[in-house]
Amino acid sequence: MEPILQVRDLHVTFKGEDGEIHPVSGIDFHVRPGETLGIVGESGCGKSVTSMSIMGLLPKGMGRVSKGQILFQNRNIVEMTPLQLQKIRGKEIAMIFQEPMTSLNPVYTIGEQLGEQIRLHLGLGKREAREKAIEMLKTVGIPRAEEVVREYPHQLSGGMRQRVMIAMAMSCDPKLLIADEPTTALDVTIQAQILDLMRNLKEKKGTSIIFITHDLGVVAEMCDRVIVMYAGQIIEEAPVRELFRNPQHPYTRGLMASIPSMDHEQRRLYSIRGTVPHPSAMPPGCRFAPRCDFAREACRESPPLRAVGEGHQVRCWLAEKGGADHGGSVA
Amino acid sequence: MAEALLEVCDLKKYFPVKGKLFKPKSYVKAVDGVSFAIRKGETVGLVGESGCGKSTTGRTLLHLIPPTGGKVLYKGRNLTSLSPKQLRPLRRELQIVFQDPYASLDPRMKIRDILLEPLEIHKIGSKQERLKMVEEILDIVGLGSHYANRYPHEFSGGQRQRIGIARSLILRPAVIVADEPVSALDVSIQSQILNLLQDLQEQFDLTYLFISHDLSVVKHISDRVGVMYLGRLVEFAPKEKLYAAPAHPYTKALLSAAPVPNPDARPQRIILSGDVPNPANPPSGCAFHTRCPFAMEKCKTDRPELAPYDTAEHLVACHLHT
Repeated sequence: MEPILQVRDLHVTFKGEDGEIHPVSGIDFHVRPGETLGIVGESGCGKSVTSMSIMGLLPKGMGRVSKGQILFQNRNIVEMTPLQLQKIRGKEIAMIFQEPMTSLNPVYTIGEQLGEQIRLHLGLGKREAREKAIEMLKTVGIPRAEEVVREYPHQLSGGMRQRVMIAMAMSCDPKLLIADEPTTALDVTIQAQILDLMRNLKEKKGTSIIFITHDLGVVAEMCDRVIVMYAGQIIEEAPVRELFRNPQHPYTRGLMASIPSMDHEQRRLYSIRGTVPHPSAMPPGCRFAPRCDFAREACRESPPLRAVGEGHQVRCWLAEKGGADHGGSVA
Repeated sequence: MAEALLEVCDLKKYFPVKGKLFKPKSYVKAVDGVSFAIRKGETVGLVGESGCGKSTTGRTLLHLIPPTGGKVLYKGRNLTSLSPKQLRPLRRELQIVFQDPYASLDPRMKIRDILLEPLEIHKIGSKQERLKMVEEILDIVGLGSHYANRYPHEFSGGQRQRIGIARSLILRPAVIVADEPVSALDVSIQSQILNLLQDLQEQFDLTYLFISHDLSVVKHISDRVGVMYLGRLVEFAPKEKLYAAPAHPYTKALLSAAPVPNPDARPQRIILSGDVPNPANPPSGCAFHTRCPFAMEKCKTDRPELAPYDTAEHLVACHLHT
């Protein structure tokens, strides 16, 4: 099936205090209809900047797409005028953010905020928009929806606010939903509710989802395919089962080994030494080499992303041999 | 069995809610009758969701905020009955590491001064000796003494947490309350800090109270674990017991809700309906009965007490098991 979104050689440049930095430097990926693509990585890896560029939400005057294309249904978002973007944003591509408190406007009621975009994108009248808003709130499992539309964000709990955000994002039946750490600010029992809701909505509507998170547990549960990012690049891409069964990049392996296991006892955790490089001081060659246990001479040169198996790509010189184990057992 | 180094008995902390005119003053019972003991050299983990009172328990236990009721016995002395002056020498032995390494270090102080401050307050050593201790502690936490001249903003989150640990460790405490020490950190950095905390425990014979919302982190680091819900302990057990055979319905739900990094494991999930109730107006009886799939008539009226379940070490507060 034709991908709904294709990102080609995307570079994003930000103006920093000491010159320009490149939080995203050359990433390629696609999202198929009805698929959930996970983007994993730690702070500063460029995962949120990527989603901001897809939404056309890079801060004006600070950040810009300096190279590459973002094709949504074969139309390049990067070259769109603000007006063209407005028609797509919220209607065809919607987004859920991490912090539902800061992304809802505190001085408008839930009904007004939900209704605004329904009226704008679906051209409904005030009363119809209100009915649609109540219907959406019911779909996302909000009890007493008729009253909630008259309430303000501060009257709702974190989990309820995130449900409102999801209702808002889903109200125009978007083709693509970008969820940027949607459950990170929530407690585990509430997270379980929200993930359950997102899974059900996706099955019902067939929405494609880009799920951005740092939590590998959430990835395992929600995604079909996964991209691992490190320092502005994709370092591994694989179908979800393949990634967890057969991770190839030393960084991916390190990340997995760093998480304490719920199943078995470990005396010590594996830890990746050092810290993520600052975007203004990227190491030459492989960007992970300074922290890598297996770095060698070849790593001074930047490795390309290469296929090692069915839909499995790795940016590492060591992963050359058809995805075989390179003796790099961590943990 | 080792003797308890720190004993918490029926600890209570109520925060007054600003009363409205003509309305009776009400209280948020952040901690409402919590009892447990920590043995020398062990790590007790405290888990629960936001607002369950786990951090308040940690702070009240250290008397950083005065308790409303109950006792805290440290080496047999009741901290609650001591005057601030009598308490001060004991504070040296009871330290805390905070969650947010960005907010807990003064941005205008150099690392050296941040680390010297506790020594000066407790009048430890001469000036020369203090400086030497600062250098030593920086090496111990894996930073290197050459960092002493820098300011907090020059460090990453993980490095700042090392400074926070150095600050509490420099007084050579016996007990450290670690309040969500790795929650603000990325996973690869989180494991570095967890390993450091374990190394320090061995090296300095430390006793930890480890507070976290992350079930897998608590399992990794703790010997015994307590689960809190709305200001009360609902279960307390050795970790092997608690994770393999949880007895309280809330513990079961909490454990089943945690996502597992394995796409083939689709756990039987108990999804709790609704939110955590408002702690200013907690439900009667068992505070969990509004969300409990097994709630009985009795649970609405009688509050269950923490009592031994299958062994004396495994305590649970639930009417299903009485």
